[in-house]
Amino acid sequence: MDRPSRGAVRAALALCLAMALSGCASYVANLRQMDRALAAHDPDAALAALAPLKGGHSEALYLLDKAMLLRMQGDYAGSIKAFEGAKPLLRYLEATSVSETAAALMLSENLRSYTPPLYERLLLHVYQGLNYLQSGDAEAARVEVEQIDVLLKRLYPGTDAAPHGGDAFARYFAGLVYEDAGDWSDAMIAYRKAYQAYRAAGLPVPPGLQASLCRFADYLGLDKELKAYKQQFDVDHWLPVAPHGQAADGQLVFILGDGLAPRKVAVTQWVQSPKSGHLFSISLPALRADPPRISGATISVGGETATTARVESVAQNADKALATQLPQLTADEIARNVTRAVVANKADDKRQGLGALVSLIGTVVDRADTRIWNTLPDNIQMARVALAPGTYHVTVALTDGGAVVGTKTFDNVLIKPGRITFATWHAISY
Amino acid sequence: MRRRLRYACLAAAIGALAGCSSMPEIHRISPNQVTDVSGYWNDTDSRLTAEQMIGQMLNEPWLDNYENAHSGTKPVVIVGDVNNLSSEHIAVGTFINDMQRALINSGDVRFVASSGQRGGVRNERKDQDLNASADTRNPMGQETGADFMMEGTINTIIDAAGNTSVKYYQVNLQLINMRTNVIAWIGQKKIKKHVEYHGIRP
Repeated sequence: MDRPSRGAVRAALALCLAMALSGCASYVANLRQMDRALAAHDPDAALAALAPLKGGHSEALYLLDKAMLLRMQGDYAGSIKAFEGAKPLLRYLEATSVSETAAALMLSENLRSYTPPLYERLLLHVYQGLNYLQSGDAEAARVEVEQIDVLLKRLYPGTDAAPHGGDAFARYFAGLVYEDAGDWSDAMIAYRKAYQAYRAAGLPVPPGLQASLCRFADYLGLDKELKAYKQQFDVDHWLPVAPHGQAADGQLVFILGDGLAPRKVAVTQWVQSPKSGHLFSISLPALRADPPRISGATISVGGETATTARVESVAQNADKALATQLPQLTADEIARNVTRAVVANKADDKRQGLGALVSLIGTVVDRADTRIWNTLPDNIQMARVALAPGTYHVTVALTDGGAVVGTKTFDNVLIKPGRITFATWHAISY
Repeated sequence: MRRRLRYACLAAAIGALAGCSSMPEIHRISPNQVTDVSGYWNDTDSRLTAEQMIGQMLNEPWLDNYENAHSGTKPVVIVGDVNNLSSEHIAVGTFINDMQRALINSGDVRFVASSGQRGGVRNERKDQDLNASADTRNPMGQETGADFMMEGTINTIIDAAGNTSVKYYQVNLQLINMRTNVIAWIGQKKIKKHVEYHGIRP
């Protein structure tokens, strides 16, 4: 068989390059389209933009984004199905793939399947729990918070706590679900773990959690613990826990998702060897956040008002997760450059100048992995209000330095004695 | 030579396309066959739980005690809450329905519609009151009251680290006497699984 001509080799390489570039371009273009649709409060268009990204190495991310977009549409059943589809896939992807690792070390980090960092895995269960609660299935929500506990115990046996944070709000949410179910010992344990997680992460303990710790330490007779919380938080009154079946009031828990989580972008530096003409590149992901413009929200319901407090910073968690990944990503980039240099040198041995083309294609294909669950909010805020049983009209006002920048009303919010009613709003643009 | 190479490439491409066929592979299997795929609660666990509970319920003295005290009348049971306190989404209704079917068919226990089921029946009876002929109409106030309420829980204890999990399921059911609150019977089924996940995938 004849050896291919130089022109044919160049054409084939150019074709590969074009295909690689077009793949990247369409992925990025779809995500931008999704962002624009979300900013225009059009989850339908966002879902349509997401649809072509189904399958392949980003299937898990596709399911997470899809579940979030369906939640925004109020399609809780669809969102539940998408999240449940993601769970076994994420468990499967925990195993190391030999072929993906080899491909990633030779060509690009994008050839690995998307595996979410811990904070995203925990928020999957939080949002799935909210899906169930807002569908009226408190028992299934309890299953979700059990799964949070099982996940943390399995990944971090002995401590049950995430070493780089991201578990505080998940634990706090678990406490609320247990409290709603009347499992008060479990609620106290979850609140205590949330408190420890906030402290370990150097974050302020939300006022609602402070009150819950005092309430349940008081009810369960944990006197020493109660004394310590009272001193630390300077709290001296809280809604007493009524025995089972005797509660007069219920609670409204309002959860605000503020903005969108940061995007990842590729920051690439190129160097050309003056001697061989070969290209070397380091392409690493960096976070680009679009900081939300609101400072908080005020809830008005039944003559009561409450302001939200931040309970989770997704942006901060993303930052920490990336910081822990960067050393490994840098080492992998160096390995890919070494591999490319070896291949380019061999190509030069066969035909002078071919190595430069090989290294050019290699460096263009090797772009940083910029996948991230961006449909999560930038941060999560919460307000809790104790209310007499009944049906309420709830008004939420988003504020920025005292000025109201957006409002939303929730009609027919039912408060039951001894139970928690959850209301949510993901405010993306205002 | 070049032509042969083209044919080989074509054959390889057809083979690859055939391999990518989206048609699933299907084999019919017996519902009683044990199929453990993921390690989660599955149809086998549900069936084993139902079988054991039925055996316990029909063979323990509460049934004879009741019949002896009520001139041979069979007890009437209503299904109450069976709470899933586990870390898995478990279709509790599956084994409860299996149990009800087996117990009703045994002729030793009668069931009345649960609180979730009877709403629809009562609505239909109201409708009959207005729309059905007098000889086919079922009157209000003739429902059979239950003698026992069946309640229960499903719990899991999971011990997991790395790729190894030990899952322990415990299903508890109990019959509570509606008149006296006495617990007449407790059934229990325990299932333990050792699950080893693969550390390597293709």
